Amino acid sequence: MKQFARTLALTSLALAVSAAFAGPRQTDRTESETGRFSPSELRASVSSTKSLHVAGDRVKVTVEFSNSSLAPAHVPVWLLDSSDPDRSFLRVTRDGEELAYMGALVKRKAAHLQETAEIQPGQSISVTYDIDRAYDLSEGGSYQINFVGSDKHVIDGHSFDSQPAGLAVEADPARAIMIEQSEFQHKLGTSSYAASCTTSQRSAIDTALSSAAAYASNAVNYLAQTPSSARTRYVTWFGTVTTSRWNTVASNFANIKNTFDTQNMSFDCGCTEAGTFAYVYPTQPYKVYLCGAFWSAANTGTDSRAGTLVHETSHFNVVAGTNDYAYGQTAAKKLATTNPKRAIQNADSHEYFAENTPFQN
Amino acid sequence: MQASASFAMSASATPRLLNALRCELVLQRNGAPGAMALQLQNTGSEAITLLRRNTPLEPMRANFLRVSRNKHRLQYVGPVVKRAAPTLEEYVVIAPGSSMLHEFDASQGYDFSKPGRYQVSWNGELLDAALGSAAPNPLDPNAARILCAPITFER
Repeated sequence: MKQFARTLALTSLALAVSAAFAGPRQTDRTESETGRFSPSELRASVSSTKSLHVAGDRVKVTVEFSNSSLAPAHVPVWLLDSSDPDRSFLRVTRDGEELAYMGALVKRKAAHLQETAEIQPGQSISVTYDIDRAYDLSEGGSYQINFVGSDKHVIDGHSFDSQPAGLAVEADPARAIMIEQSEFQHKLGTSSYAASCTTSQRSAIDTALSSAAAYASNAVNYLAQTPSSARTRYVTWFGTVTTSRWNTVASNFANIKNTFDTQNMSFDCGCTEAGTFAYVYPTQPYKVYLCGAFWSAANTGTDSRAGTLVHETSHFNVVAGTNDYAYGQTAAKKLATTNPKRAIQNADSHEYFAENTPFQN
Repeated sequence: MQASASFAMSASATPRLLNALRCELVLQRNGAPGAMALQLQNTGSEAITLLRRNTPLEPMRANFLRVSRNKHRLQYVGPVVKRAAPTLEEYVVIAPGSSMLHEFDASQGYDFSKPGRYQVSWNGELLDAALGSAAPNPLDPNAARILCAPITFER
């Protein structure tokens, strides 16, 4: 209760300050900073008030931010506001595997234009964040959560990774549904639909797009790790590891993710061929034609709707310019072993890597 | 598991070559720009079964031709399609000694509207091909390749 009151006081103070100094604030701050020897530093510590979360419980963690430097730390108000949907600063792992971030991706104004709250040296402030709308905890088990440091969290300063805090969650499939229904699922990119798409088709596309974005984000995180021939997921779909090929795939998925997150994709549902999932014209981004097999596919998993969107998006010349050198899991695996150079240009290889079904490390 | 299997496999970098299949692109002189034909002749002693998908033997749904105008490669402007596993109807059987001529329209994928000297070649890639009389298994395809003579013409 005490913490809560302090948060409010700090936040409202900061808002008042920002308003008062809307114009000249930047200049003022620069002048006051000239005497500083070091940028401000923010340390974070994560804890959970509840060690076991049963089905139906909201899953929350509390982050205590403390200013460990000698200068006041200016922290963007959104970071201290638990109603802001951004949870990208929290990392969740289960059995050492990082979970895909499915929460809001918020595009912020430049740091110096943001409203900030001031945390004095030695002072700390606690904020409680729900994490069950940003991460799919439906499988249940032991999760580790830590705060991910960055220079976005302190104006003219840094924040640091916290130690992980552990908590247990009971398996509950309903949690996945809550995420699907969340208004904050990240979809900064917009979608438009041809008249051929019915209302229920439009909603199915939205769901598939969110899952596709989560797939792409998971792939990007995986590929940000050190290339290694022990990574069976990569080796299965793209063959023998070389740094150069690994980096090409990483760049392809960065572009795919960026397309889902920022581009206006358009969909046409006029094609009814039962044996066809979808098609695109690689020269015409970002229009996707969805066909019969798309609608009979599951939302996620092998040859799913979400995977199909990854596949199709990879085809656009401005994204990854992939081709169809092999269709289906058997042929794609064969391609990886016989011709890795081709595999990294093959759309299905990207799709199966993204779907990662069955799971491989 | 999968990784060790992939390392243990002895695999060649390019799909096997079907030497028995003689292949040629033929220009349809009086046709529309892009009107051409694929001629295939089985010179071997066994039947050859091949998947038509992503070859000139079906409407253009992949970038399998290399088209240049005045030695500049043209961009593929056609569609690329994700399809379910092939059905047996998507295969064609060429009996030993027999040949087939299949007309197709390359302008579905490339722009032949501007005048110039065009060269068109097919990469000869087959997503699945089998020798002999056994039915193909679309779920376990065996990629193959044939050498195909290109054509050059003025428009």
